[in-house]
Amino acid sequence: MRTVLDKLYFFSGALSGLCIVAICAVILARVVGRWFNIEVPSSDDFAGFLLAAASFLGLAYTFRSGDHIRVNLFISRLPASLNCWIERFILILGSILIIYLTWQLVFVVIESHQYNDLSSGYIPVSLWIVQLPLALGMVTFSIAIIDQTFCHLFFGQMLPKSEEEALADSQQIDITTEDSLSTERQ
Amino acid sequence: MNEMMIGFILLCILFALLASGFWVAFTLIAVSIAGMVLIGNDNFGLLFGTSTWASVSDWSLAALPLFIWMGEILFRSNLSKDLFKGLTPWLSRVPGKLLHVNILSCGIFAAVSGSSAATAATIGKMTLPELKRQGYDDKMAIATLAGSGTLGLLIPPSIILIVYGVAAEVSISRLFMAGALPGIMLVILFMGYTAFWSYRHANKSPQTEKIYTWSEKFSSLLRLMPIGTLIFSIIGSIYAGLTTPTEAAAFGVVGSLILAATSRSLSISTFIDSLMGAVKTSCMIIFILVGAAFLTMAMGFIGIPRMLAENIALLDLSPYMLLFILTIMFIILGCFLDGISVVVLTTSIVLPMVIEAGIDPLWFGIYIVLVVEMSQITPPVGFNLFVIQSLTGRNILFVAKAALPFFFLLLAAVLIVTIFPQIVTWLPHTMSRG
Repeated sequence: MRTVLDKLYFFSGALSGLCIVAICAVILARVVGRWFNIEVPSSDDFAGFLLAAASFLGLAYTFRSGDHIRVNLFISRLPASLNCWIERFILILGSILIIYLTWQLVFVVIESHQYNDLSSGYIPVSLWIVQLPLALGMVTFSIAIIDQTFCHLFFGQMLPKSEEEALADSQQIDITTEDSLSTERQ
Repeated sequence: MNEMMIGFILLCILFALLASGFWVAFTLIAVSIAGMVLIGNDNFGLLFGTSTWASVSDWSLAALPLFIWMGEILFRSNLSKDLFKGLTPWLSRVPGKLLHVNILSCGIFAAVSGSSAATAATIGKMTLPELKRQGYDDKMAIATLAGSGTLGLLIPPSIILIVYGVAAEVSISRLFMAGALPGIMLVILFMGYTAFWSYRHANKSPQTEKIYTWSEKFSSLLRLMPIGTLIFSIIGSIYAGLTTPTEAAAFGVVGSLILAATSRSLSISTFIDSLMGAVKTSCMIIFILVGAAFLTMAMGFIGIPRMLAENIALLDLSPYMLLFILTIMFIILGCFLDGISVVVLTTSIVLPMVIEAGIDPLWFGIYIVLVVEMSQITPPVGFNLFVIQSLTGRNILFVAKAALPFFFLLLAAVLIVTIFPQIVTWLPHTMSRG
């Protein structure tokens, strides 16, 4: 179960990465096309759709790496047990909120599907298709938060730290062995 | 219940949630929902759906992940070493020598990498041992590192300016141009102060170890060429109206990939690492923007920004007085919140008031970034300080005290752009389009 979930988050994050690569490709195609007077149709629409997909598919992965910003200045100063209870509280609150928000975004997709809404660009696209990654990303994000809440409640697994926090909390970085600059220069 | 009362309750909820470590993006959404419930509007679920889709499918926001990716690629290349070796010969005659290398390499590295904490760590790891070995003053070494790590927020391509531009609906191209001159001004202020300090404390700055010949200087220029070309072509093409920021960002990604490949620091694993790094940072920022878009809309329904704007108009404050109050408020807020959160909270709540007072939103963007820079080097929050603390093993108060002159230099910069707003607005006004 653990590995299945971790793979899900990673897979979803990797998809998000692919979307960023695709945004880059679409925009390059647009500019290069302009040089040769070829209009790449609806390229800005597609960049937008890909952006939406990239932003939401990566949410769970970002959450697992502890990169969603929060202020832990105050609670990290508290005694460990109190800190733990506050983390539980915000996780439960977060779980409730995310389930509600996910439902709302899924509802947006269902509605777009029912009314068969089309995008307003040069190439009309069924909106529900391009909105689907949002809903999927949100569902994965909910799973990640609920997963974290369970692990916190039953296995005492604390919230992960972001890279910056880890960088800041780390002990003195060994600066003597890090670089060969000084020896090179002598 | 009147707006004042609702505003007060929401403010309490906001700070309570933030202080208990609730994720910033969720806090913004929760506060919006609470506000909508208080005014009896139960349509918020639907509104969340529409505001979210509208805010993330905007293609001008696509500049954000691309610039972040570009930074992540450059971060993993040999850029930091090239900057150090390329700049050193040129600055060997200026009073303060290597300290200026610290400032300039931090400034350039931060401009492209986007994270001032990562900048302080990367550049600091390289320059601090060298500064120590040559006997430079500890305090100045720390101060220059802490201060100039924040330069990247202003010098384009700046992630935080994209966030402001999207949230405040100000053209990102114009914001980038607006940030360029104040950015250069800050570099001059920082370097000027350092040179002055070194001149006054000649005993604390060691003699030049080595005189560099002109041929050495020019060969070192080769190291700076690629990154210089990359930054100037990005800024130049936006200024000339040849590309939008998003398009410039796509070229930036290609350029940095070529740069990394030619310096043999590009492998499949660094490519994937940089991409996944970009996923994490951009998802985090865009989710905050989703929360901010919803908050802006909820605030509009509740009418708090309108109420603030009307009250400010009644008070008949001069814009200077208003800015003075806002600066103090932001410095306090910045002690506890990161820059991006400060920016989105501002645009959601106080921007209408600022515009009402006759302040140019373009200018205000640069102003707020300067204030955010100050908060980066004040305790208790300020990742720069923590990173330098762990690099040097000095305690946080020592680091903060060392960085204090740079805090005042930033404050001076705020004053200068307030008195001479042309420094901000001149360059964007000369743009051909955008």
